[in-house]
Amino acid sequence: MIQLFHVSKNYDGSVPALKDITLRVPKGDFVFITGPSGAGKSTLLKIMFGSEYPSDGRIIIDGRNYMRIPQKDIAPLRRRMGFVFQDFKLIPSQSVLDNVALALRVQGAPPLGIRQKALKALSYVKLQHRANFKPLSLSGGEQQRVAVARALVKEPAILLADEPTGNLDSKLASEMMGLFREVNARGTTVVIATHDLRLIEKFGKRVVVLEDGIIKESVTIDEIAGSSEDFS
Amino acid sequence: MSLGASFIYTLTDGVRNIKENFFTTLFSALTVGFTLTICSVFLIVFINLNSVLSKWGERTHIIAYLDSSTVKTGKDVEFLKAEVGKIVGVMSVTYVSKKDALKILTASLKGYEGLLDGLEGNPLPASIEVLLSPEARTPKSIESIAETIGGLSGVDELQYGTEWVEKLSAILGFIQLAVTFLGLFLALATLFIISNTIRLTIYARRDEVEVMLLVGASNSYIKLPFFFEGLVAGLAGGVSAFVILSGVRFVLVEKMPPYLTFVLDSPVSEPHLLLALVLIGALIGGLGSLLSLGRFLKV
Repeated sequence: MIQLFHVSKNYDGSVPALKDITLRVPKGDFVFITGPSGAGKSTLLKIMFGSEYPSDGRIIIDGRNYMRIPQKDIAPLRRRMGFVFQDFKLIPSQSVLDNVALALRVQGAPPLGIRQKALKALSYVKLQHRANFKPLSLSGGEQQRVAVARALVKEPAILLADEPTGNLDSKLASEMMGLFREVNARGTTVVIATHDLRLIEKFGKRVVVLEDGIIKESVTIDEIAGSSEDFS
Repeated sequence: MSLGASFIYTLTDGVRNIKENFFTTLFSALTVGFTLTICSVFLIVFINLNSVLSKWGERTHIIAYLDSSTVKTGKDVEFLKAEVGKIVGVMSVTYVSKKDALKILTASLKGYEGLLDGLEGNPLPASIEVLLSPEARTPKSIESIAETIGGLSGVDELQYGTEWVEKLSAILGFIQLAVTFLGLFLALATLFIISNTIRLTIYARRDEVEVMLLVGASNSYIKLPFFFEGLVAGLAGGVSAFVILSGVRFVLVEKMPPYLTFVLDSPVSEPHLLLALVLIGALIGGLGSLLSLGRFLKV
């Protein structure tokens, strides 16, 4: 369960990124966060992940107040989460396989079997044939899929994805979303930030619309389908 | 994480990182190597010079020329030696007979022995040479001991120099002070160069560290392979310092006048020197990596 209470985030010298956000994502939920560029979607996900701290308010994940977790306990918490970063965050000097395997290695998984699991995760995103390539030799879309494979390989309790289909064509984007739904069906809480309304219409259950750092509305897919707004 | 898995990951990650960052590791190793060489040359020269200067100090002595009318028999000589030996600060007493004195003079005039041809008999007096213990090698102490020896029956004349002792202690004091400052400066420069090299190496890979933190790697998971890499670079640096040092000594010894080559003699055996350099290199490399990593471990 992810709970945010009156969360605000200010960056020095700029307009507030988030203003008084209160949001509850129950365990096993599948939530889209949408809104125009600069609305605060990425900031919200980073705060949920613990790589950014709110300027104000509280964030509670699985009953633990994130603000009070000592630095050394952040790592174990992150191992339970998968994050697909907008800029992929892959290690360029390591192979695609090693990048995916890293998520298992940091968990302390036994060395034997890691390769198989990583290859399997790559097959989910149709990239097993690129296992020994370096990330920079792949296209943007392929790198994004590696990032997805890395987030999924450890079967996380919570999956956070920031524009995970931004570099994919519509067919691959649908396939990725299908993967996220499968993971969700197995019990993982999924939060996806996107401005692609077509995906939301096709896969969304619950949608949180952000605008200028505040929650404009929290709606179901039927309501947003009737809206004339287009964030893309 | 189990110890076995942690060990395997440290080793495999470390080896892979060294392969992938081969030239950076090589650069770090050479930096450690060259700086250790400079420090070693300095230390070796210092130890050898210090030892030579100490030996010169050991030669601080007083010569007491004997009155042949009073000291006639071997018994008289033994008695006088025993009396001098009792004086506090006297390390050893050696008797030099008239005959020995002439031999020494003849030997020192090698090639010019003809100068002594006109001599009738042996004009040189017998003497006793008194060596002093290290704590007694001060001008004040020498004066006092000389005074006591001069007061003994059978001693005709004394020869000793306090001026030379003063000069030697002044030189020793200056060298020790200069060496301390220079050594401190060199040690600081070495630490600065090595820590900055390692810091730059890690800075170049800060994105990698960031990604590891984001996927939930613990600090020890991130640190250990870097520690391993630092250790290997340091070990290689120690070996290269030994090789460079041997090369430098070989080249310089060839060019130096033979009486100066002692300054480059290793104060310890070659294997011990190699072991010391490798251990120091590994320590600098390993600890340097761990300390330099700290600032990058917060995301």
